[in-house]
Amino acid sequence: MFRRGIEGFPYYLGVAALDKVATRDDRVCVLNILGGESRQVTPVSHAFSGGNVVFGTSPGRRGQVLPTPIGDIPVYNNVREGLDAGLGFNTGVVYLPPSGVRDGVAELVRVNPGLGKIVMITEKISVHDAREIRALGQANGIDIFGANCLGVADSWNRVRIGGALGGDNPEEVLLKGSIAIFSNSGGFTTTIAQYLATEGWGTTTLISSGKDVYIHYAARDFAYALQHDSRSRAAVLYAEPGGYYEHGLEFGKPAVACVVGRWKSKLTRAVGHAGAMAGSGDKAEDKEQWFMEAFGVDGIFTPERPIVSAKGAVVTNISHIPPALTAVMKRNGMSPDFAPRGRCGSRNVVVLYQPPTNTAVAR
Amino acid sequence: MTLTHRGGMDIEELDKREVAQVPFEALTGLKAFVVANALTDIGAPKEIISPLVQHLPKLWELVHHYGMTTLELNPIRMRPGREGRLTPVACDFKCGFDRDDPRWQRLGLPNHMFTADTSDFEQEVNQLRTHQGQSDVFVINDKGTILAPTFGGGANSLVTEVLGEAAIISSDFGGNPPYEKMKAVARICYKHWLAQTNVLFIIGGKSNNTDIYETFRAMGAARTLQQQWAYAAIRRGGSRRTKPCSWNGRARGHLRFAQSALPLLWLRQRNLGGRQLRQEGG
Repeated sequence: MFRRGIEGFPYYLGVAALDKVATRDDRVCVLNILGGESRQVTPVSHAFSGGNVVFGTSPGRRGQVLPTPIGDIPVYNNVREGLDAGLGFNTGVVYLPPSGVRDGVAELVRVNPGLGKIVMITEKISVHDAREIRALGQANGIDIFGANCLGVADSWNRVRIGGALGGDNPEEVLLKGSIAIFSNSGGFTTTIAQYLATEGWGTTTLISSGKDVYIHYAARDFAYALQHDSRSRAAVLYAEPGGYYEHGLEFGKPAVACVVGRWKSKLTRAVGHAGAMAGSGDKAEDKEQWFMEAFGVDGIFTPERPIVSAKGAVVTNISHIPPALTAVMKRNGMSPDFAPRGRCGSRNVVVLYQPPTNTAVAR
Repeated sequence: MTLTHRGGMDIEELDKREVAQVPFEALTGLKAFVVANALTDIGAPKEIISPLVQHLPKLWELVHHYGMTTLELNPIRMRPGREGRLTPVACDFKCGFDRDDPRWQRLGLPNHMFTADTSDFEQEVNQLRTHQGQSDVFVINDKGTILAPTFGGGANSLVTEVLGEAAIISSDFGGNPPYEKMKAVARICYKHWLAQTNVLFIIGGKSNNTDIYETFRAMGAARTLQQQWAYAAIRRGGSRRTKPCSWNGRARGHLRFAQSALPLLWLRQRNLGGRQLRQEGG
């Protein structure tokens, strides 16, 4: 049912270490490269990565190009045309609409024997299709990231694949350092990297996992790759309720886990992240407990009550991640990667303005 | 598939040796031999193996091809028939449906089973869902005073957590919404909730590569005829969040636009010497 990958996993896993997630050797094909989001994101990724996108597909638009700061990316009708033009690749990025993603993955898998990785950006893929995509990847030995994610990036390799990690200026956000990030939230992947920099921590590999019901590259896979990455001294995880992905993990290195979503247990249906709905035993509080057990701590870290161990700390507020990490690393005798940059938290962001005193106020 | 012959009780209470957890592949489906092997492994009575082997694989067809995420039958009872044949009968049926999969509509379920779950506001907002992104909303507290249309799943989790019962809605309108969508979202939210809103949170909209000024422009353009004053709080994300915002020129134009349209109060970033009364942290 699945191709054999790394020993000891009851499913296929090919990425053996974090430095293999996004490399300078990866060559990328983008499906639906001329779609609205890809038009904005792909040129930035391509330029940042030194030109890693070899071609894209958009049915009926063969001959068009996607302009980028370092040259045009050719567009073909389908994957086969690009391969026939001599443009080999090992990584596929999928920007197709939800109903087209499964067939897009099938095309990548069946047409390209050199395929090793797929990154699915699309959100709202049905669970039905996610199951079949998983099965396709497993049977053919393909590592799949996503869906509903912002892709992967590597600050050492200076590579970004898939989505908009780091926003418009990844060179400013993806600062070389020693911390790996794994996040259920795409936006927070970038935010956490910026927060870490305010305490002098840079990053190695950043993975936006998405938070669909099925997370194709999940926390267990990340934990294994973290242990085998010599560049990463620690990790930060951002997790939401739903699923047992984070249960019983061993990181082998210090880690800070941020669990957000206690309030989600009051919702009767998913809002936003389709997979962030807990059933039995996988609420936010349960996940907090899993991480506390993994780290050997008996409470949540806050600046007022800095509960940490050498293994890690658990926070429920993303602005507490940097001080928690610094405290954990101090226990391990490790110093930050560089001098602090920027300012953290909402302290310089949320500003309220009071109306003039002669103005009526609703309440 | 999780299966036991000791039905009629919570599965978590059973001895794990009496519970089979069987992985199988979605493309090939649940095969009869998989069911047979599982029942044999847990020591199920022989007389129930054949009837379950015949019928359980059909459940996978139901789950996978009719838009379900989960299905639970507990208990299944065996009904004796002619010549001692046993037929499995589901005495309780629970399932979850995938809202992103229209396949469940094949079941022809009556509409009233689902419409009670959503309000008029929620239904109106849900129509903004496109292949380009979410449009999920849940009314937390219809007496709340903080209106926080949120852009992005992570932002949704955090904002819902922080605001709690003070929030009117929990929402995710996508991490990278275009101008038109943000305007439509704002229009609907204002129509239903602005009258009772004390604080409008503008959250996200710059989480990835959406321009924050687009957010202001869209939310300002969703003008209403109501003339209620409110506080506005802006939470910026994105790659420029640790740099001072430049409120001059372009931003001030949009803020003036927002001010005249909404009437939100305009804001000044601290380092421009604006009249800052309070700064929220955390």
